[in-house]
Amino acid sequence: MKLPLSWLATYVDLPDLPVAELAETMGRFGLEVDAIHTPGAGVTGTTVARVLAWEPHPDADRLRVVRITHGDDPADGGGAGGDVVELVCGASNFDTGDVVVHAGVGGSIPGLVLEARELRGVVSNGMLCSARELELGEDHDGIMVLDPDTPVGVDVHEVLPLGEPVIDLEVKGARGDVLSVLGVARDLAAVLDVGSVDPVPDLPPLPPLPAEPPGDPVEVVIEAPEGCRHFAALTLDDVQVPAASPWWLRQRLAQVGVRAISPLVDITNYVMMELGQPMHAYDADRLAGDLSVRWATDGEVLVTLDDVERTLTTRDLVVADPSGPVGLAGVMGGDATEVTATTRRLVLEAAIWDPATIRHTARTLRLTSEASLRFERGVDPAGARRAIARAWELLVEIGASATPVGLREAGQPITARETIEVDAGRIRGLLGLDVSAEEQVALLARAGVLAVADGDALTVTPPSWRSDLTRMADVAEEVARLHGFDQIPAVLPPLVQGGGLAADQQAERDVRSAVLAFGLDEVVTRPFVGDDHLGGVLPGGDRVVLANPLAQDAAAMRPSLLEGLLGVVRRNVGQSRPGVAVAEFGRIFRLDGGPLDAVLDALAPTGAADWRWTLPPADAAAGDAAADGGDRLLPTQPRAVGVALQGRRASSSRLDTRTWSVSDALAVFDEVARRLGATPDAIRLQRVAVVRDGFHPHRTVALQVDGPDGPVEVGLVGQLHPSEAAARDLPEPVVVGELVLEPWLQALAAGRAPIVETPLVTRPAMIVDVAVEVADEVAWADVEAAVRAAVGDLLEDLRVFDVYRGDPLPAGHRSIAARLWLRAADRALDGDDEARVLADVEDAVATAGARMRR
Amino acid sequence: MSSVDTAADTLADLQERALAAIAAATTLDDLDEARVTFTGRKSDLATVQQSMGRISAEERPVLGKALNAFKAVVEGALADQREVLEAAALDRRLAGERLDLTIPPLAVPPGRPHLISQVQDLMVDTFVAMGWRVADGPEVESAAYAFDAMNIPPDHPARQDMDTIYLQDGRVDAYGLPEVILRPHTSPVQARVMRTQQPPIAIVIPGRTYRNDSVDATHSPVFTQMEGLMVGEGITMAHLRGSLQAFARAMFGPDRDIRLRPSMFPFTEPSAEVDVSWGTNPDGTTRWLEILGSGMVDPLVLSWCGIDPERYSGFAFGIGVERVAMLRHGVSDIRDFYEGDARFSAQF
Repeated sequence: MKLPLSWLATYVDLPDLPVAELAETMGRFGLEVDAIHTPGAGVTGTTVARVLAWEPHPDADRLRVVRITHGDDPADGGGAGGDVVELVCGASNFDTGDVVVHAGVGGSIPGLVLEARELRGVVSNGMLCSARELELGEDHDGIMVLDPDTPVGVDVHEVLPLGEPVIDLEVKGARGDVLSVLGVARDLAAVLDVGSVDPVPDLPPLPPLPAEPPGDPVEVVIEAPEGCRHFAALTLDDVQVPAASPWWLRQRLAQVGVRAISPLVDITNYVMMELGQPMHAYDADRLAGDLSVRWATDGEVLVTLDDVERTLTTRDLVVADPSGPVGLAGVMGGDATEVTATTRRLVLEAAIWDPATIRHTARTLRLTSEASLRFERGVDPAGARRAIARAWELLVEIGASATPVGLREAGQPITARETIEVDAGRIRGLLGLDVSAEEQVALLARAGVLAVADGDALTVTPPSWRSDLTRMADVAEEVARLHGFDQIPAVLPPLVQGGGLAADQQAERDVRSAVLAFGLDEVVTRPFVGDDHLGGVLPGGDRVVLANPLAQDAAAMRPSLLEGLLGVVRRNVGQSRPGVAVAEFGRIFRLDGGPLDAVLDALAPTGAADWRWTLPPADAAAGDAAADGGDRLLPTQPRAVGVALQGRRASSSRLDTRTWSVSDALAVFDEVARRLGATPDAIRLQRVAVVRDGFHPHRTVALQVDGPDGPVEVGLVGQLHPSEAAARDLPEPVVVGELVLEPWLQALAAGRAPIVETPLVTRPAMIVDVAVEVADEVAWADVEAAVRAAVGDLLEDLRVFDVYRGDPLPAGHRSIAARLWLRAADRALDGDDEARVLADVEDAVATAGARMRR
Repeated sequence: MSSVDTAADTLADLQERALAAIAAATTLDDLDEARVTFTGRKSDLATVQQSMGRISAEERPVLGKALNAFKAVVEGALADQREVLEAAALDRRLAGERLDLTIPPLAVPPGRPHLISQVQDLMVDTFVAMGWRVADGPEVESAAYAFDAMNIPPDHPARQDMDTIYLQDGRVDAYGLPEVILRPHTSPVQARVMRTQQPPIAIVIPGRTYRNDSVDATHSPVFTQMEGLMVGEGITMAHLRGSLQAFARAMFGPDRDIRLRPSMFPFTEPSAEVDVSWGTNPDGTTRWLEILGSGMVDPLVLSWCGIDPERYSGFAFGIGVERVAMLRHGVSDIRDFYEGDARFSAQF
């Protein structure tokens, strides 16, 4: 809302402050100033002049050579003033005798200092200004032609509001009452505790009811009272208006950002800006009869003023004549009944519309106007008549003439709001501010709120324009605002509970540290994917698709962390980096009912909250826990960690010869599992070779853990297939992986006993090395599992220390050497133990499809 | 000449040659060879020792003494030379093991937490240290929790201002609007907590949030928010100010002040924008930067969530983690947070 300071000053006694200081003060009291403009600032040496004569430029078709004078007697042709200035002008909207604005040589207008300049052989001594050149409006079709009786020769600042500050106010939420000059003036008066005036314009003299000749006023009826509280229509006959609004009116409109159109339209806009009451003007001769306010019928059509055909529904409110809708109530008038220069019979409408109705129509038709903006936020329900009176006053002021034939009204203005009972003590309690009931009454009075105190019991009656004051909290806010928010003390609240991170929240931080310790940088990516995306853990479920995505390649929520990570790899490869190692922690998104749900169910810890998120019960506000069944589920969105590794391992100043490998990624996830388990070995991620789209067929594993009904997949790690890497323009190797964390975080949140120490055995360990020849088709994991089972409790540790291919092994086989640490708590082991272990291992290895080398 | 004398002569000669050989040894192998040559079982010394059996009893102590003297001298020389040679060998090994330790290490150092994580943890910990807890909730959320619970009914202008991203999900609410959305703020977690827990409540809610904003230097469709909620008996706006002042000082420096300005939010009444002092303007006045929105929880929000507004009051606030990070660390382009450029990560 743009507010010229001079316009505000007509309603409020503005303090003598620099405008920046005023704006700062307004901001501290809830009137947030976006900007302060001073249109036309810097205009100098510019005066009012009269055109003496003009002729076409001898050398340029579109230019005129003009002679003007600053002498004040038009009759003496400038002779007496002795002052004739010749200049060249490109406009053609003026004639001899017109009063114009002349920026003289040595003077300036915004962005230009004027000097005598030759234009195609004629010296131009300054220029004649358009409204836009003086920043007084958008009009640049021609120069400004002022009222003929404007005094000639005076500085232009004496007749035009140049350099006058205009405050641009940001209006928030429900404060529709400050969407007008009057509304802001009132609020400023309250905030600054200064005087203000409420305008009381007079309605025109009207013939007594029932009115008959000289004219027949347009009657109004409200058929949809839930959409319209009050509707007032003034019918005027024999309307004669000047061709254009006077400059002062046009400039005021320009200052508030409204384009001048014609005197009748300008006046309705002026009233809206000044009083906050939108108005509409109909050409009564183009109406088919009286006006009614009704709901539109389904499919009813109206061409609005912007020349767009609107198809309406029964939720749109219209003003109609017997032939159909003539206006979209509170939003925009109809094209067919628009006023024109030849309008002789006029109906001026001022009505109070239901905010929700206007909001609905403006939203569904995507049609927002200055009027709808105000009605949506609430217009003073007592203001319709005053607006009509003010419009009449302005018509008279601009020299129009008309015969009032009748004011017709339907509905009622609301002049007093409902009274609310509030406790001044509770207001003090809510604000933490010591302000007595009497002080509260006095503060509220400044805002036009009538409050009566009986001890701490306040009876509060807000003025008609304050629709936002309906509850104790609203009154408390008004008290706080007028008292000053800066008066509220800073007090730390009493400690109401034991605080701290929950176990799962701490674990999330621990897991992050553990992952990053492997040399990975954490990244955060936008969690959207397009149609083509790499599958991660348990691929194939349905995606969570967005209805209004930002872009086609961001049409759904990520079902896995891999795509975002690969985007980061791509970006860094594009920066010529030799290697990338990144990790992301976040939620992945699947439609409920997919395979991931079964995994989360299988691993759901006892005693934990359900991992599923749900919509509130249908009638949530009433606390009605209606069981709506499965369709109350939100998409599945577990927390997960993902990694991407590409190219060479590197520190900030050293390149390793080794590249990142799948095994590096596996090490990361093993460590994550160790951190999350109840003991370091509680969660053992089993690696199962899998073949997945986009992945290397022999370098990809699913990560599984045991569920109640067998192993379930919780992660995936693999190297990108060479063709997948090529398609993404990524140099190999590219390794990605992800692991779902949710079940273990949930288990932590549900509470867990601390780890209990296993006593350290002091007897020495026996070390036994075994080498096993394994065909490539046999997974080491199976061999190891067999060895572990065979050795049993004696086995303390098992570590692979060599993998060998080549002579004398047959092709497709490798030898894997492992070292076993054996220890018993109750005795020292001897050669018999060693022999027995080796025999057992040999049998176990054979059962697993391998052969022990001895 | 007695045999003893002969043996003594031999020993003297032997000792002379042994000492010469020991002195001449330049490696431990040379030295060992000298030892074997002069003191081994097949050495000249052994011959002398064997002669012990052939000489008379009177002469034996004489020869024995001479032998002992020989051994002491030669073994002493051997030990000395061994020490010298070992020291030299160690020196050679050490010289061969020379490393230029100014060459950077090969190990890959630990990576960095993202700046958003660092700042978020700091923000969260500030409140945790004051006795608050941390709450979390889904990012794909119910419009009822995100809007209805927050006193933003379907036709409320704020609901349109939110520019929400909706799911293509088919489910609509009683107003015909999509029921499942990407949460535009973390407020729905406030509702979830309040519906399951009676006061006292003091929680911060960090998390990812979404708006239908195109990406540019100052807008992101994804951003991170931390909201706070304290509800209890006798909670006042002075407590809001006290808590947020403590937060601002922890985040930006102990010399900071905050300023509350009236504002309008559907979910709080009264509502306040909070500015933090940020040096001085050229004209000497305090410079203020807006950092967050806050207010006393609207009674409608409390009752929607099943908390008695007659008994309890509370305050809430919301602050952008990226905004704080940008202010603290001078980040000028919000896109830097989401592109994963290693040059960005390496700086923090």
